[in-house]
Amino acid sequence: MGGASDDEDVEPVKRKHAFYLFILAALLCIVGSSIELRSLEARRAEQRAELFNPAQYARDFWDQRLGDVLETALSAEQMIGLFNKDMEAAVSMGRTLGQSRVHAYLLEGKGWVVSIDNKGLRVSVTGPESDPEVLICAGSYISGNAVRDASGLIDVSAFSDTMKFNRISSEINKIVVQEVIKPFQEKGPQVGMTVAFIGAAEVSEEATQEVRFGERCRGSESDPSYHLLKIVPIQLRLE
Amino acid sequence: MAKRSSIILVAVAFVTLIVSGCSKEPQASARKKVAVVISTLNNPWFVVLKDAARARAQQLGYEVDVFDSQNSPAAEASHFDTIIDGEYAAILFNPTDAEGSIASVKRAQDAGIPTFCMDREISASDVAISQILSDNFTGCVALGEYFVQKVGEKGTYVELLGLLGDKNTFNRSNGFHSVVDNYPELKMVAQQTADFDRTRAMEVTESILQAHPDIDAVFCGNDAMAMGAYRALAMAGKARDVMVFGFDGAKDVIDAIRAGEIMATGMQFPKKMAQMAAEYADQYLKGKRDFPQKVPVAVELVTQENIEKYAAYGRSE
Repeated sequence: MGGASDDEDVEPVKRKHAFYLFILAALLCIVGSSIELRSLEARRAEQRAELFNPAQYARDFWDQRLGDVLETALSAEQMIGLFNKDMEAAVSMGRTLGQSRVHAYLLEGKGWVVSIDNKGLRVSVTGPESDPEVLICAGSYISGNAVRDASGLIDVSAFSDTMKFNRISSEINKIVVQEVIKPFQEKGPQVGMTVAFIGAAEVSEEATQEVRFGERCRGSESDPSYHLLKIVPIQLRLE
Repeated sequence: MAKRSSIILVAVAFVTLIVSGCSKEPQASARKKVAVVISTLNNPWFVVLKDAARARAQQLGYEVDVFDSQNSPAAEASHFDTIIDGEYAAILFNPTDAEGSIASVKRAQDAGIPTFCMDREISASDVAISQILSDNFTGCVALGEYFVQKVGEKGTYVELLGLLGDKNTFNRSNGFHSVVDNYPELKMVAQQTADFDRTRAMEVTESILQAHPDIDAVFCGNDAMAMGAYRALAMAGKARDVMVFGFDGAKDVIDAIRAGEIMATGMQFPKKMAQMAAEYADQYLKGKRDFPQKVPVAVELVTQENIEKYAAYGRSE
């Protein structure tokens, strides 16, 4: 009698356990489908990427750090002379990113606007009657790393990912367009006017091997094309 | 007197022992082994990287073993297990994955084996001793500018991307687009991956040409894809109408630029990067500790106008 009674007690307990197990399995199915397992390293990498804000970095660079090095800018007129006559000496005065035949320079000067087109101002730094030697970029966009690299303030080794380093350049270039070029264009620069500038240039070691800066490279007398030193403006004003 | 002579004799023997010990040090280091781990040896560009790393390390007196990861992070991790157990002095490393390869380099670091990355980076700046990398982004900025110069500010083009998991794919694409996207009338009608593979690029281009038969240009994330795209265009009778741009500086593309078939490429310098990595490893093993974490190596624009300055995988000697 007693055994039969025990079996009767055990059955509801078993059923209860089975019910709880079923509920637990159902819960695991529901919760499990919303859980994703990922490696800790991948998550850390994402967190590092999320923390980096290239626009903010570029803003801080532009507002807080760049001003200090602008006073080290070299004379554009003197450097053009050096690029044309003694490139080896000029190279020793530039900044080089890693292993490269291209070197970056901070340059300052004053010049006469010889012509203007959608790429920028063709400027002579040697005299109002001279051919242009410089193109001050003043178009709708800026590419390259001239400002970042000429400043010498940003070290690629500080970045875990070089894409971050490159995105800083893109953001600096946007600031140049918005805060230097656009306000300058609104003042309506004209041929014959004088401009003062501080800017950055990237110059290849081979840049003046065949044609020197300021010399004609192709085109007819009526449509001459000059070999120009491209300068990305950091400060630009009409005199 | 005899006592004095024997003291001198012992002193001379001692000095001789020290000097001979010192002179034997380079021979001891000559027996050290260096591992060269390459992401894949299916692409000739990486074979050049491997050969240059091995040759320079051997020249510096090391025994060299080469490991082919076959683009598999798992195979790469297994190579690192072998290397860590195998008494290697240094690793010259071309990673398969910027994130996934970090753990392997960290294990080597923990085992006291220095790693020097070549061409491709890992997204960490505290595990490898130095990373010597192609400056893909800037190289493609120059290619983008040349592309606009040749194609014009108006037209349609196709972009063939490399492996989607490879950072170089997007460094290149982003550099190119940082220029061309400023020209709203220059329209990209298709952007597809062809996995850095020549055959795949040919198939993808053939398929794109069905939908867009009048494109002006194809921009490819590497030279193998440029050759595949060119082949598809040639088969469709459009090779003269569509400009093709590549990236790498591989032999067949350098020849094709010289023949006027391909417009331009970005010259990377695999030999230079591999040689630098081997030299850095040697300097490290001899006691130098001050190395830059990242060394970008400039990519140079090669066009039909300056092709005489270049040969496959570098500049003309």
